Amino acid sequence: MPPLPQIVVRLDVMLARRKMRSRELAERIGITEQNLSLLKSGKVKGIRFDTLAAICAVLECQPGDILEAVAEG
Amino acid sequence: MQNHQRLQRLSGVLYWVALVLSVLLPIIVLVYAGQGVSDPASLLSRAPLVPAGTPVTTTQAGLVAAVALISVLPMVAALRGMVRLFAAYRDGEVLSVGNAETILRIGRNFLMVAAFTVLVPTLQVLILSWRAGQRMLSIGLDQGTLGFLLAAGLLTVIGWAMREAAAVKAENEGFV
Repeated sequence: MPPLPQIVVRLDVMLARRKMRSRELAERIGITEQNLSLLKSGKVKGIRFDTLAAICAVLECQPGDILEAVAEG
Repeated sequence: MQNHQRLQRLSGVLYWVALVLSVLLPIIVLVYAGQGVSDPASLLSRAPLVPAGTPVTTTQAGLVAAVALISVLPMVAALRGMVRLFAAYRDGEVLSVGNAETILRIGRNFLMVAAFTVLVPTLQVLILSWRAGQRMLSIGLDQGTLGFLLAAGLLTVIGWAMREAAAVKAENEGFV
């Protein structure tokens, strides 16, 4: 099995593009700012599909715009 | 949410019941043991299998009392475990590895209670009949013992299931 890539969260980039603050996004998708901060820093085990769908709906983007697989090494 | 509130309310009541019993039980056994030591002959009325008139020495009475006191320890340990568990439930901490471990410990103590329910009367009859013409060995298995064995098995299984549930909860908490 080839080495697994690392999943990197690019939420900061999308937030900058949409000129939106983290607090506003957190309020609109119904999660705490603390959890959004953890998501942005990649310090979570995973993201639920409904959270991902809500982020995509608010930021008008695709999951691939937020998550990126980066080869390690 | 309603279940959570019910759990907290009932646990609050059961916490006090378990706490009071965990204090009262050793005292009651201590009083009975003391009575037995001060009046060794009275022990025969509680051991119908031993022939009436069998001489009982203070040493024998002391041994019977010691066995009774030791045999109550697993039940007290189980009650102390229940106090910890009900306190955690009352405070809203339901799914945790600590609670699962406490349930498993209560199950193990119930298993010891069941074993002692069989062994203790046997040992006490043997001690009391030691000086009689014929030593007696009487082993009995009643509904209460079977109930404790079943409860011990049930608590062990629930403890394992709770451990799994706590692990799933911990994993779920890593998701946003």
